[in-house]
Amino acid sequence: MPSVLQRLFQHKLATVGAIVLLLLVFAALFAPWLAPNNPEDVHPEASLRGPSRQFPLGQDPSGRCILSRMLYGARASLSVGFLAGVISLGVGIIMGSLAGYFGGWVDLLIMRVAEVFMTIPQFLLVIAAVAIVGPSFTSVLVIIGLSSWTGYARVLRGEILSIKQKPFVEAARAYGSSSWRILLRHVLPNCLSPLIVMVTLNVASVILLESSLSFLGFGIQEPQASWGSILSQGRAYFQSAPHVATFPGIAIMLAVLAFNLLGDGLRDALDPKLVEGE
Amino acid sequence: MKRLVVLLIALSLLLTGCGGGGAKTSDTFIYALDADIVNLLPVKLTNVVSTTVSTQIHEPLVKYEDTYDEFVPKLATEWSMDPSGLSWTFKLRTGVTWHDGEPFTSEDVKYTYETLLDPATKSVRRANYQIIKSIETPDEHTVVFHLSEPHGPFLDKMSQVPIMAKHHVSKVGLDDYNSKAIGTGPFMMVEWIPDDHVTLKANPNYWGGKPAIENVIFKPIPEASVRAMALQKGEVHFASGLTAEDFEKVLDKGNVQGIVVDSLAFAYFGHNNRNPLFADKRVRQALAYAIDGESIVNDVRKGAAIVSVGPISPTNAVWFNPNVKQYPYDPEKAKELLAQAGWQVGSDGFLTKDGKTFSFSVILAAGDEVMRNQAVLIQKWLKDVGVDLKLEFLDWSVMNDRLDNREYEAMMLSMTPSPDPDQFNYWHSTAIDNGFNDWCYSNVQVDRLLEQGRRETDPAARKAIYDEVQAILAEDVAAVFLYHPKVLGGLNKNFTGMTEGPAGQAPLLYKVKPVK
Repeated sequence: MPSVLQRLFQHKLATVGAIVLLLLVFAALFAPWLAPNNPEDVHPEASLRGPSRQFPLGQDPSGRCILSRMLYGARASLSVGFLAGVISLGVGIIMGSLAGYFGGWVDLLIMRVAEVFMTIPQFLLVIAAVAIVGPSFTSVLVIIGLSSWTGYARVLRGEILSIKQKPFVEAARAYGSSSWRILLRHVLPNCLSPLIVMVTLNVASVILLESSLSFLGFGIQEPQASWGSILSQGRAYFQSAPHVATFPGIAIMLAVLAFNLLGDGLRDALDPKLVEGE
Repeated sequence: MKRLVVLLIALSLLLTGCGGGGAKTSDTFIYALDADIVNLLPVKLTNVVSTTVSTQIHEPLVKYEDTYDEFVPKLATEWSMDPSGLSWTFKLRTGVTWHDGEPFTSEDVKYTYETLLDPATKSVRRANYQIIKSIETPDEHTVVFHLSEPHGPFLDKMSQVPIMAKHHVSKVGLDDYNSKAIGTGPFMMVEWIPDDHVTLKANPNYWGGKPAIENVIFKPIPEASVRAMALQKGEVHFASGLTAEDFEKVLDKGNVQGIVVDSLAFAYFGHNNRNPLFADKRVRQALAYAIDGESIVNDVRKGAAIVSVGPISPTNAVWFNPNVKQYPYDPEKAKELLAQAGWQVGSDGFLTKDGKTFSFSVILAAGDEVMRNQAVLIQKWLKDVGVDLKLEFLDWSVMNDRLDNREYEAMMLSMTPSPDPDQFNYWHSTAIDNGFNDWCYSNVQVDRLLEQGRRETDPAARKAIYDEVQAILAEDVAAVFLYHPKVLGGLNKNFTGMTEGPAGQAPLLYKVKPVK
């Protein structure tokens, strides 16, 4: 039986997605070595200048190197994506397994809370929360993380509801295992694959969310950059200096597309029905 | 007037302009406003957009027209102050009629000022006029103002209140006046369609002669880029408050003539002087040395500004004092001054003193790209000398609350003073709680001079007083003065004669003529 990874790499688009992501992660990790200039150095006299040898992707309104800012911005954008993804996954797993496994009033309470969360558009919720707490890297991260757990919780709850009826769970219970042991050792590991797919898709949407926040000025604050904040600054000069908005826009698009391709690939690779079929 | 007013004034200065009818006949002039009018009632004028329209309909006793140092007679033809400085007598123009044909008399002047001073009117401008103790009307064409103390800027104050018709306003009331406005001015109200347009037509019986253009249409167009496009296409004949980039593009087309106005506004980086961080004068001077005002003027404003040394612009030549301490960009000097003030470079590159990092945040309005760009530069320049500046971009409503409550370590804005140097409302310590002293600046010597300058009526003596005020403000770095913006506008070449009045004053549309 081919491993998940092998099956993933048979999926061409997923492979492309994975490679793009690896490149982006590489760029983010090694930004200080890759960046041709200090991302905070201003050259006011060279405001909005197009690509040149010293500034391969041109300069922003303050004359800062856009390539360098994008490399450093990749750190912000990707780490918000990953970390907020991890936070929401963590919260989602806790909430979803409590609700699914224990049922009863715990289930009722958690699911109603989740529904309340879902009735409010996430973007508005995040903006309101950021406006209260004040925009910063950490607050954006935590707020996005805490506001996107509901999807995980719902999926996980559904999975657990079906798995906990399976004979092997009953066997474990008959054997005298504690609830926690059953949940952690027997139930959860069997529900993870849909979650993994969700994470990749969720990271992509978190990156978009962060970009939108930064676009509106609620995200990463100057002098730090994220792709969204550079894009936002470029919007005002879209006619006179299109390079400012174009490059970060392409980066956002690539990252989100890559995560989505990878997510699709993972879904196929992890699909238990396909595994059984082979 | 509140801060919003100041903002609107600044904005509308940017935006005032007029357009000539490209598509329409050449006797209709279309003028792009940056917002819809709010209230045309002369005693309730609070923003430049409303003032722009209202002053075409109504006229004050005297007015600044082409220069900042001379009052032009409008509804008053002669005026004099008695030697004590406690009363002013105005001789009114004879033969002037309101738009409905009724004669204009001294009763109208008295009524206007009494309405302004009546607390029930709730005019935000009332506080500025409380020096008026009583108003007498010995005959139909004479008005005498009695003051509680001599007041240097009295004529300046008179220039800011257009006169309204007693017989009309007492009938129609103060509310809902806009479309019923009646004045003595060169243009008469035709209609106001909210958020769409205001139409005026020439007053055939204007005492100064019927204006050359028959109709004026004011169109509110809030987006600067849309105004620029409308001007380029000839949809409006005058638009202003254009960005430097748009301005160049519009002029390239050849059907528009550029109109650049040096505004009296001053843009600043304002630290909160109440904050102990800025208590040491050397620290404030270091901030001034660390910020490159010239680069902001050339690179951010693209030359559309004048480097500033204080709150009075060199354009206001009569009152401007060039001999004040200046702070050319000099980061080394800034570091030196900060070191003298006891700030040491810490391990993270930022300055520390008594275990605290030199870090503060500046609030500024979100959405203004020019402000943002200059803030980014200032942040970097301050970082270069070891100061950690954080930028807080705020929505206007939040920003206003923070300003009203003086809740900030620093703020970046601009103010538009009137041509008279009496900036009591900006720099006097009582204006911290009851005025526009957003810098929370307090200096007994400046307080005394400002009080003295207001009471003084001899121009030469006032000049000496305000020269000293400017020198102290600069030496003290009451704020880091950045620049005086130029307002970029354009006039369709089918029209000529467009002049914007001096800063804060409305454009003089009665001077506009169609070409040919």
